[in-house]
Amino acid sequence: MLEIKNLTKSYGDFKAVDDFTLSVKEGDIYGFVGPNGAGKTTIMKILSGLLPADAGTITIDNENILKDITRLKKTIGYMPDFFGVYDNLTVIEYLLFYSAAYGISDDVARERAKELLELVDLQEKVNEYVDSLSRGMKQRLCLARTLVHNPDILILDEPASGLDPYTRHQLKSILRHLSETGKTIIISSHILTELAELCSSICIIEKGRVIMNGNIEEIMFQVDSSNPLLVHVLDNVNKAVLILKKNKYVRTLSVEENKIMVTFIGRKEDEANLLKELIESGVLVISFKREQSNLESLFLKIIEKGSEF
Amino acid sequence: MKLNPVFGKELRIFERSIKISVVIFIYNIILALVAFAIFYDMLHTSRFTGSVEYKSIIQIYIIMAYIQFGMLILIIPGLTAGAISGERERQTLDILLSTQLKPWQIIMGKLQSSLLVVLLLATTSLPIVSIVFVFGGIKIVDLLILILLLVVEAVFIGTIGLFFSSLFKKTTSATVLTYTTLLFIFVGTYLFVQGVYSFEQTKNTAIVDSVTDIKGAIYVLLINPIITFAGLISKQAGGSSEIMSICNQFGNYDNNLVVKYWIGISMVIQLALSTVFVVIAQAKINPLRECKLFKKGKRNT
Ligand SMILES: Nc1ncnc2c1ncn2[C@@H]1O[C@H](COP(=O)(O)OP(=O)(O)O)[C@@H](O)[C@H]1O
Ligand SMILES: [Mg+2]
Repeated sequence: MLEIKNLTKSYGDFKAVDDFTLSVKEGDIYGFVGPNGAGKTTIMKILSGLLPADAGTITIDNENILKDITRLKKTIGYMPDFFGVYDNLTVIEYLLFYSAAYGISDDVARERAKELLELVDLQEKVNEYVDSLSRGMKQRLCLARTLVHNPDILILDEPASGLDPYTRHQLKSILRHLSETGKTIIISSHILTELAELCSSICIIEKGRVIMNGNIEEIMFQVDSSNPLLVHVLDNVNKAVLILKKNKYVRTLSVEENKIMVTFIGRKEDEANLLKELIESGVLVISFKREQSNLESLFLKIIEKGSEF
Repeated sequence: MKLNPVFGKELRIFERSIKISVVIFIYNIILALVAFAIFYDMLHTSRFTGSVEYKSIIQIYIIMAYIQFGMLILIIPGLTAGAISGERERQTLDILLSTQLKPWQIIMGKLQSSLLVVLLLATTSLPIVSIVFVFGGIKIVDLLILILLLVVEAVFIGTIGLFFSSLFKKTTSATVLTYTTLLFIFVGTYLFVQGVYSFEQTKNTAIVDSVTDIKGAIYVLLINPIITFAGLISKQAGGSSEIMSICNQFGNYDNNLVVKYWIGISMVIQLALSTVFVVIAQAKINPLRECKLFKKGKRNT
């Protein structure tokens, strides 16, 4: 539903977003991951109509919304990475003010505000002053605010940074609920683990470019397959080594007592066939698995690869 | 017409702001004290003369008007110079701009809320000012014209504040520049006219019997709210035309139409300048404006 094509943005001579292309499906929770300065905020600001793009298009349902700012603002709800609240406004007044900013009539806005406060679990704070809320509550209130005009797409810039694990968990369940109700969510973070369990897809960004994107499991597999295969056998190490050496997907091999480390370039099926062959030849296999990258090392690996371009 | 949302919000915040209540409270105390002092003096004199001096009542009106004008000059710059830069500093401007509010709506909402303060000052002082009507001497129309002029001057000063507020990231810089500009408009224009006069005078010393006349340079004073205000008050108080006598210090303006209709013309010019300030201010906060002219120095936070 949302197509970003060849988006480019420079600050002076510095290219912050460089020919960025991405397509996001309806109902996706799409994670933008990249180190600080990668250009995530810049892309999100362009998406929210807060920065002009130098080149490129953003289309929603085949219409370039960069040419129709009113439509863009109706469709998108934006939560900045850093934001403030007004002193001397209560929670409900805060929401009503932003509703009015979208031209929503007072009674409709009140009805909606009630629903939203329930969604973000702030219904008891309705008459409290906004600046007396805790950071996590402000974050949730700001999330409710991005929803006052019922946008189809939510753009959340680093919403989880600086939150405690419980609040982060709460935020995740709210976002999941929103995605189930059909909202498309784009969320950024410089920490991959923050997004991994939440997002359906991720896009790894560095220096304003897409380094890798797609379904999160696919990305993990792509990177994992360069990890060694670890085969642990009970006995018959030599026989196992012989079989492994014959396999056409095996590149290197090292043996340490009855553990064998194999660089294996095949796909999942080839991996399964290899295991079958070992067992059928009578080798007693205790374990047979890919070494799993933890998410952080995965992330670093991708970024390193990306910089080689 | 629907209430400007930004104005609505500011209204809520004002309503709870202790600062504004204190200002209005102090202002009313000053007014009451001044009125009381003048009345006391008036009654004291009438004990000897046996009649109430009509002039003293006009005096109350004049003093009230000047106090209101003075309050306006003090309060409006402070309110408006922080209006946009304050949103920027508080990190609420981006959110505001990401909504369907147009940049000019944001600027106008801020302007409206600073005008509200003027109207508040004017209305809270009505009880005291009404004394003047009881004794006569000043007509309701005069009061309405005075309020109109106060509003025009508030708009003029307010848009200057908003202009600098949208230009600068920091409220402090915006405030300093607003006050500096106002100082130039209030005092600098007069010094400028005097400078031109002295310059012309030195040129004329060789010619015997010559009268120095700065001609068109006098029109610089049209943007000076103090001249406009003094002109209106002196006219209402029934004195001679203050503006004519000010202008005639620098030449002969007896038959000059601009000087004759000075108050109206200066109000129109000041409003036109205000429009320019608003146009620039709204362009300055518009994130998608193509024109790079005003853009330099701006950074996104
Ligand atoms: N207004 C600006 N002027 C100049 N450079 C900027 C501006 N905003 C961001 N940048 C630069 O653009 C790059 C991308 O920034 P940003 O989009 O904020 O990255 P991220 O959100 O991924 O950390 C950074 O190197 C940053 O220094
Ligand atoms: Mg960022």
